[in-house]
Order: sequence, then structure tokens, then C-alpha cells
Amino acid sequence: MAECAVHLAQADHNEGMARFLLDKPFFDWSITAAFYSAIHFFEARLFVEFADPNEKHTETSIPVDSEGKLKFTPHSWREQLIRTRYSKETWKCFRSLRESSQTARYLSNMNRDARAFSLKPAFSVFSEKNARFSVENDLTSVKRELKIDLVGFIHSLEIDKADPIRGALIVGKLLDNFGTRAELLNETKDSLRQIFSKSDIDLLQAQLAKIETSLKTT
Amino acid sequence: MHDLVIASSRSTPSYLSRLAFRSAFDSLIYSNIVIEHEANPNLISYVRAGYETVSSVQLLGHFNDIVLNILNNARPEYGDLQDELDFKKKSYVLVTNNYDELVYDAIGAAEIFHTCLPIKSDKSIEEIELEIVNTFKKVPEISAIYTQTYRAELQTTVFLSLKEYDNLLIHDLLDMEYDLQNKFPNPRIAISYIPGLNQDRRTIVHPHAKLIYDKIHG
Repeated sequence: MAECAVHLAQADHNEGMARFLLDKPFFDWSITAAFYSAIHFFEARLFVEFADPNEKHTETSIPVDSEGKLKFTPHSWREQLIRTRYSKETWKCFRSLRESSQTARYLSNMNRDARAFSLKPAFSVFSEKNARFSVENDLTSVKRELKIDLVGFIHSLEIDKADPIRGALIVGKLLDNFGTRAELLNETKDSLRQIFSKSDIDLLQAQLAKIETSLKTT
Repeated sequence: MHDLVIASSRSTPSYLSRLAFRSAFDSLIYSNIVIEHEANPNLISYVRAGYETVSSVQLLGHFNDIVLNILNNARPEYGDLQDELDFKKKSYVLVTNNYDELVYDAIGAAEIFHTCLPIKSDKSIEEIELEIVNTFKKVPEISAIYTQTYRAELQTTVFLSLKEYDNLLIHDLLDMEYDLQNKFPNPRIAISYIPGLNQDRRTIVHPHAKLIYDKIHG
């Protein structure tokens, strides 16, 4: 399992491939790359949002039954986490990506015996329009709803490393109250006092200074 | 009725109870309340953030409000258990003034949902399948539906008559799926949508899967 920066790098890499393939006749692979990008964006958000080590990754938070067996697959559990913690739009677009990529990957191979065969390969059910929808609608919505721009910025501040306890609170408030890095940096110290205590703002300011950024004063 | 002894639970908080605790915790943050007590660093530390200190009596009232709020919010989903809920509400009163116990008791209250109510409110598989059919039969592109239970899921395969992937149709179906999952959290309804490829459906679904809807045969 990876930490936030690794997830974001892999997510960006996968998204790059998804977009690269949009005008090539490999629409099924564009869709698949978009789905694997969305997974890493979500895991990056988990890593930054939760202080509990078990909740930083989908795989480590799957409930087990009385015999110690996992109750859900990682894919299934991830979708439940998204449905219960984030907006319906996040869930729907993430779920749409999983559905289309699953069809792209497995439809040709779903027959369990030799009595019947697929009449068409899976890639033939997808067009450029489908791939563009997956990348430009679904993946873009997942990134926006999960506030990935802000997630990356918060991670770069290393607030949790500076103060693990207070840092977790500040991170939660940042994610609750702002949508992007620009929105946060557009706030003045005074306006932030409605959300944060003075000591929170001092800590935030100190971490911003380390990356040569600062909050507005007026 | 042993399940009323929820406050005595000292087990590791489950995911759902942690989620509920987080809500309670968020409520504390926004009420500018802090617990000045070191008894349990794993839990209490999350709530120590340099805010104004309050008395244990104030905190007791606050947690009682949270518990009652949680129970009130459960009403729509567990409507047929109203009498039991009302009884729990009357029975569940936090009486301790020990900070450590208060936090644990709040978690215990959250565990109502994880350990008691979801189990008791489970609909039978047949009821859930009927609702799935009633939901999806209105969609003309759906040709058949199969179900099978696996782990903690009711796996549902929805066959479509379309030969090409339709993202907008999938989004419409996901709206319906979202409502079904909210209505029936246990077992989780896990749905796959399969494009029509003129092949024997039985070669795609599990041998033990049950046909619950077939458009051709009504």
C-alpha cells in the first residue's frame, strides 16, 4: 500500500494514459485506465483524510466476519466507503467507471464452459463517445468531488507530521470547508478565524511558509 | 434484553461506530468543546485540540443529545422497529461523569446500528429481490435479472438488450441502484450490468444463480 504522493502520481499517470488513448481505437483501455486512475485518487483522499492507520487504505479497513474472513472484496468495500462518506455524484461516477471497465476487461471472458462463446469481443461494445464520457465526465467528477487538488496541497503541507493530533483536526476542517487550493489561499487570516483557532492558523501558516506560500493578511 | 447493554461494550470500535463517533467528534469540534483527560490516548487525544474546556456535566448533556439524535435519525430506515427504538431511547441514558467512559459510551451508542438494528431490520432475500424486480422492470432495456448470495452480498446480474455500451443508461440505472443500496444495506446489493451479446445467459451467471426476472417470459 502506498502513501498519498504515490497514489497521486499513479493516478495522474493512469489518467494521462486514459486521455492519450481517447483518439486511438483502444477505447476499452482508455476506460480501464480511467477507472484505475479513480481508484488511486480515492486512496489518496483516504490517506490524507484519516488519521487512523487502518482507515488510510481500503484494504486495511474491510470488515471481517466471526471467522476472520473478509466480508467484502476490496472493490466492493471501496464503493461502500464512497457511498457512505461522500456525495452521491462521487459514488455514481466512480461506480460508472468500475462498471464500464469491468465490462471492457471481462465481457469476452465471462463464459464458464465451452458450450457457448461470445459472439463479439468486449472492445466492440465501446466507442470513442463511451471513452470520452468515462474520462471527461466520470473521472473529472470523481476528482472534483473528492477535492483532489486540495488533497494534494494538504499533503504537501505535512500538517499531520508537524502535529499529529491537531493536524488531523485541521485537515478535516480544510476538507470540509474548501474545495480547492486556490479557495483556501484566497482566504484572509481573519476570515479563517471563523473556522480555525489562532493556534490552528499559526500551525497552518508555519507549514505554508515551508513551501514558500502564505495566507492573505487582508 | 441483552442488546440494550450497549454502553458496556468495550470492544474495538467497528468501522460504522467509528464513523458515527467521528460525527459526534465533528459535533464537538464545532461546539468548541474539548475533553481535558488523558485516560485513553487513542480516543481522547482526537478530541484534545486546544479548545475551551467544559465541565463533565456539559459534556454528558452533549453526548446524550448526540445519542438521541442518532436514534431519531434512524427512524425512517427502521420504521418497523419504532417501538423498540423508542424503548432504547428511554433506556439509553448516559449516567457516568467520567470522560473516558463518556467517549466509550458514545461509541457504544453508535454500535447500536452495527450490532443490533441492521441485523434485526434485515429484509428477507425474497423481499429484496422483489424490490429489485419492481425497480428495474420499468426499464425497457433490461431483459433479465439473476441473483446469488456470496459473502455478505446479494450479487445481482442485470442483462441488457443493448449491443453497445450506453453511459447515460448506466447512470440512470445507478440512480436506482443507489436508492436500493440505501434501502437495503444488509446484505449489500452488488450489481453488474451486462450488455446483450446474444449468448446463453446461463453461461455468464453462476450455476447456482437464481433467475428473478425474465422479460420474455414475464
